[in-house]
Amino acid sequence: MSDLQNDQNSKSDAPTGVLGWLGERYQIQGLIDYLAKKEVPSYRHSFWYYMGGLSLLFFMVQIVTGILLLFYYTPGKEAYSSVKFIVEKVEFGWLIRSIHSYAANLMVFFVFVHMFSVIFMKAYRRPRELTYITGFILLALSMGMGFSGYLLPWDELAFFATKIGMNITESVPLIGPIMAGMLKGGPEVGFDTISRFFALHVWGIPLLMIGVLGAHMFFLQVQGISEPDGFKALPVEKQKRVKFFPTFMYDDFLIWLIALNGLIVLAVFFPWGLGPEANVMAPTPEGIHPEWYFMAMFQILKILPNIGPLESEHIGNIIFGLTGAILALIPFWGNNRERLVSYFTIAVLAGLIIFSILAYHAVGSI
Amino acid sequence: MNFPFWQAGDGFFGLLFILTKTLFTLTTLSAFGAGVFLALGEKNPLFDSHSGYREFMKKFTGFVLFVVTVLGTVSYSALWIIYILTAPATLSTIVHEFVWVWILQGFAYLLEVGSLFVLYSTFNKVHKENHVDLAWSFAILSLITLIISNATLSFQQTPGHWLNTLKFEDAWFNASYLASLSVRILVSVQTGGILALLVISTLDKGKLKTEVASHAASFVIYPFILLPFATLWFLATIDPGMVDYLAAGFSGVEEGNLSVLTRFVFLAVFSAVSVFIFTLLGAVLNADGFKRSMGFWLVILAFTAAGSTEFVRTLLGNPYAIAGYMYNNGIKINDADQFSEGFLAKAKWTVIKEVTDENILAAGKELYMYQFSGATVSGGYNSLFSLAKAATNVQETLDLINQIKWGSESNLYAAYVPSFLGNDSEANALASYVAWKNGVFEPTPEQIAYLKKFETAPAGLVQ
Repeated sequence: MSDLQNDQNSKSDAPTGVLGWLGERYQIQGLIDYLAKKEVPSYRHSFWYYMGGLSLLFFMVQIVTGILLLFYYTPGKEAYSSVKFIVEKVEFGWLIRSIHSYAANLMVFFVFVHMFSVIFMKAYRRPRELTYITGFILLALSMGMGFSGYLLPWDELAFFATKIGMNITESVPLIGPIMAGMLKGGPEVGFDTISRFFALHVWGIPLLMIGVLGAHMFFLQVQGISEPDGFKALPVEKQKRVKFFPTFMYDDFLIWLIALNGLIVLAVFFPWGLGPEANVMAPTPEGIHPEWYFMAMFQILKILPNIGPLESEHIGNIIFGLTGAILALIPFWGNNRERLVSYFTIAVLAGLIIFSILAYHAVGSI
Repeated sequence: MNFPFWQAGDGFFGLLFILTKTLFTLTTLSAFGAGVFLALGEKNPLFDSHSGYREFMKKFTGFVLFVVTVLGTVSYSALWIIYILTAPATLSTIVHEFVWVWILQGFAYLLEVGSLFVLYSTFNKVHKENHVDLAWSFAILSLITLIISNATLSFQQTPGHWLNTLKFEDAWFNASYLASLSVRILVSVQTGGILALLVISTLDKGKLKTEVASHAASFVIYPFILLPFATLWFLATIDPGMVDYLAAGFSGVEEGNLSVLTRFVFLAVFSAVSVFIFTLLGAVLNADGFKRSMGFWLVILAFTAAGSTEFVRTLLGNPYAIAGYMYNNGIKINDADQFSEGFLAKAKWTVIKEVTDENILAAGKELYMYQFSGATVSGGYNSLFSLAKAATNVQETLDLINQIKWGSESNLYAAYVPSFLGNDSEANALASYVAWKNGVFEPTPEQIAYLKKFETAPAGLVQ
């Protein structure tokens, strides 16, 4: 084959359009080749692979709607009136706030589902330890986002639920009182607390999340998606894989579209409410409780007894801290303890569900 | 006036009604679009050269047969049963007034199903050109059914000149006839394409799947571009009162004050746009990866769009079965004046003829059942119970009943709740019943005992 023919062939394989334009200016051919080669296993449990994408979608929704809410939200003394203004006066403010609040909850939900599916599919194994740990940190940060955002409207529910949360934080041995003091900005939950939570909610935690998310995605891209034992055990001719680009990516988009439909149904049919303005002098009303993902902890703390010099909050904090640490360090348990990992995770999951149901029953929601 | 009936419009039955209506709407609408897809599909050169393509076409014809015959007839029968139970007089009047239309519609439907049976059973048995003709016959017969059913449905929305002339042609060619027909034809083509995509999602990956999916997707995408114009045309032809009602629902949307109607309009628009994007991403850009689960979700989205649109259409139609002529509760406007002087005594099938202190709850319930239950769902938006929710006692409930009384000039709800017909004691009975149901009235044990007797053994109470 002549050089001219070779040249013509290579030209015909080169990307055209936007990619071609970029390719002429930057060295992106390697990236394009990588994306073209990247594959995702396709089998009956493949749908669990979409949970991470859904978490990412709701995170992006959070950022976009959060920026829109920032146009009008004022922390501090005017927090409540600014949220009321957003909901009642700003065009489609009610919709943006509803979407933001539901997306926050859905993000936490899908991060939970993603984490448990990763554990059950044993995707935390070597060499993906760091992918798992960054994922676990993202779960903790998502919950932190939820907690810090909950106070911002400064309505009755937000105030008292945060007060309960601060009491729990305060009871953490040694560092608890310092942490609670820093977060509250004074002896009690007040307007200074809103400013601090606001800073964390719109700046501190999102910045951390973006950094950790970037690392998580980087590890994922470098190592690829894990293939479970069941898939690897299949004969080679039965091991089906789909191209990440465009097949898996389009699938992801379609699932996002369905999820956005669900989000719109929730926001339009059941708009997120705003209760009466918080009154710091008022006694705690009945039925006050934190968000659903803290309900299990809330219930456990209520039923734990004091043991010797240890108060129930201290015991609770030790239990939660240990459980979190054990979950976070799952990749380092060793290959011979994988069955134990599964049993432990099932126990944690069952505990979360049972204690959450009990908590909702106790506050009269079910 | 309604015959005695069972109350089937509440809770689960209300939901069942909307789901059945949506299923029926989708199945009847899909026939024409599917027919066109089949006729054009058989003319495709692949039909002669690719056995897999012929296999797909046969599979799709079988699926359309299942949808049109099984799902169509089951949902149609279920709808009739629900209508018979909730508004028998209304149904009886519509059938009586338009008996020829119903006969024509039934006949066209039989021909449509017959032609589809022939089309399916003659696959690979008759000459190809004849088979294409059969496919076109099915498509045309489906279109005729659509044209006829569109006449009855659009007539209920805009009876227009018929109210004065009572002429058949005025009923048929009513104001919204052509506009609603254009909407239905476009949606029909889309649903035909969606059914095809559902079958395509079961095909193995390959060139065939890509080609057929792209062809079916064009059935969904092109009508979508025309649909907004057809919808605007339709809105321009219906009763301005209905458009005002729709606009009123949107007036507070920026501040979040939106009615149930508005919420469903939102859902209809959002899910319809989602159907478009889903088809574009799934069946055009990634046709090879269009798998069963995606076909399923596409149908769910289409069902949501059709269901919410149907719900909006039903809400706009209430409380009238035929706007301005007859209430959905079965009472004709011409009879309203005489009933407003005393309903129970003059109505044919009522058990209680006069309100007393003892039977006040039972009389209230009977008034509610005959005048309101057929028009609005008891637990739903616009129901009398929902409207009276703010009332804290019988007197405040009575104020609302008097506000919606026949002839009242301060009736704000005339467009979507039937006017109350009855004398003062009947209004008081209805108010007591509604207030009791809303928990703001404490009846005596005798009144409750009488109501129980009325509910369990009404024959013994006939006065």
